[in-house]
Amino acid sequence: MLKKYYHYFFLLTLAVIVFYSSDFKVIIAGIAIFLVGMIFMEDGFKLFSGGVLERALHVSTDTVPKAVAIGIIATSIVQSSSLISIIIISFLSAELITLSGAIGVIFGSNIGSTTTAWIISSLGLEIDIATYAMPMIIFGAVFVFSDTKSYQGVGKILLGLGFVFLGIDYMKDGFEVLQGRFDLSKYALEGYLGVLVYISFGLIATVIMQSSAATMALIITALATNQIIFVNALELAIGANVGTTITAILGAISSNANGKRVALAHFIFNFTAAVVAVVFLYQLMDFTTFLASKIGIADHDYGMKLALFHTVFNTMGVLIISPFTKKFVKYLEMLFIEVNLYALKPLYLDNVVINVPDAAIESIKKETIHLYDSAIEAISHSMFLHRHAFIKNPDLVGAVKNSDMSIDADISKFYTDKVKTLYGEIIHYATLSQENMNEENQNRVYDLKLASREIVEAMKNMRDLQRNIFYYSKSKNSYIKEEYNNLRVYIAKTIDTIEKLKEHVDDLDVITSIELLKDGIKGLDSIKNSRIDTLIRENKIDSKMATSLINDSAFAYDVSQKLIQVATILWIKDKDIRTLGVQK
Amino acid sequence: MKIGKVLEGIEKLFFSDINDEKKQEKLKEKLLKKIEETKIEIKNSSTDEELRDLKAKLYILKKLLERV
Repeated sequence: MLKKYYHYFFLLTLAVIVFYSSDFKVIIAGIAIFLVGMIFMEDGFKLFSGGVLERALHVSTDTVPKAVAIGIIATSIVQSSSLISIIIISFLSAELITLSGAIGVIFGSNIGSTTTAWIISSLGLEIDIATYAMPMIIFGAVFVFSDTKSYQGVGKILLGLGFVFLGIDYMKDGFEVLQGRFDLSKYALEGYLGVLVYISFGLIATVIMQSSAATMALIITALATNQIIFVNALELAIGANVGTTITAILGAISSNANGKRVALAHFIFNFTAAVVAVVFLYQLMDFTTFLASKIGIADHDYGMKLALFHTVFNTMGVLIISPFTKKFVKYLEMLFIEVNLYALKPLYLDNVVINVPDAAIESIKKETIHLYDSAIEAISHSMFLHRHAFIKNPDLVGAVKNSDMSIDADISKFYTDKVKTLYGEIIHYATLSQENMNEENQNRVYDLKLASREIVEAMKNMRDLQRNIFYYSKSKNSYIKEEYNNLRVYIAKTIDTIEKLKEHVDDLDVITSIELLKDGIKGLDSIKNSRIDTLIRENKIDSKMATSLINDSAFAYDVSQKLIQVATILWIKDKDIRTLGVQK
Repeated sequence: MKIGKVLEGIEKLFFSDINDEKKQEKLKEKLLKKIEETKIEIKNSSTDEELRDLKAKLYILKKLLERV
């Protein structure tokens, strides 16, 4: 509600300023053109990089220093820290990078984003960049209409750069005209009141424009036309640095835990750097002036000095905070926990007994059985079968072949929403429990971990199988339909046999059932292959069907083998008898 | 803690073979007993299906005995 009124108020104020002040109109138009340029550049890099950027971020974030370096390089090239943030959050959600790697990239991205100030201050003010802007826009527009994606990307980058340059030129012109009318620098404030006022200005301007680069462009052009004094420009830059994180936090409110973690990490980092910069503002200003004289920046070139200050204080922030990355990660992981309402909760993993080996092993075993039961539910549904319809049914084959193919089950979703968390909890608990165990107990826990992994792997194999089971159940070719029904029968028999062997008291009865089952699926697999050969030779199935069937037979065989392996680990109590069946 | 590990090592070095051997013997006995029981069950089986299942079971038990 408030947001809506704020939006109307903002539009009205903007309309009044644009209508009544032609000078401010030019500056605001400059900002608008600059922002359009940034959008074009961001889109252009997305098209042009063709996944290179993503790959670089993926493979180079295993240590914090590497992540910081890649953050600097990537942001310097694409000139958009928000694009980098978006990629990082999506990678984090897909577990392609760790949280510490993501935080490292964000740290680096802050330093990388300071290159914008360097570009504007070195190119934008000394030379007439509008003359370069026009050809860029013209050629950019030509490339944009190309058929090739990479040319379109180049076109958008050129258009973006052209508009950014044009925007800066407009801002510069606006401030120059304004300079003749009235002098903003008379509102210059020194001391801590200035700190408060100008940091707030920088922050608000960035939140409104949603771009710290635009704020920096505005500050540098205002500074170049002597509309603001240097110290106030530094304060505005500090405010812009914090403001950019407010935008990220607002965006992360509706995001998942990973989005929130990255946004808060960004805010804490920029806020801490800002606090340190404010406390040591005058020392940092002196240091920047000293450094500027050493690297050959002219004394009066305040734009370049501001860019240098921007880089210095962001680098300082990285140096201060990066040693605490591990603690930072722990804090963020505790603060935002991904809540999955559908996830299976562990029923037996009790932390009280984690140090008592026998009790811990029993807990892990029961939890693994819990995982197995859930996986069997998902596997059965993915074959369009209800467990009660085929388990212990004397006419299992009939039950499978006559089943209704309308069960709505997505095994991939089931794994992500329900099973993945439980699997993670089992592995975590089991690993912690192993610390206090002797070798024999450790081996037992290792076997149970192996069983959990096999359960999850079996589910993943079913994911590939499910699509074709459904597809060929609708086929008009009765041979392929029959073959896929056989695959279902084959897995259903495995599940059924395992359910029955749970009831045996004697371990030798369990292992004989398991060994018979192993023999059964081996025989079935070899028969399958020769049957496929016959079907191909007699032209009963086409080559596409044959390849699908060959692959899916292998998947089905693998699923059954994994389930058998799990049964051996879970339902044979005597270690020596179990060893006869477990294949390490 | 270290003494415990040393004792464990000594035990493994001198007694594990004997323990393993004993365990294997025990397992063999169990399997032999089961084989005998299954043979009796085969003799007493009433249906063809039961006879076929018991024969398969006997075959597996013999294979397991070979593995010990």
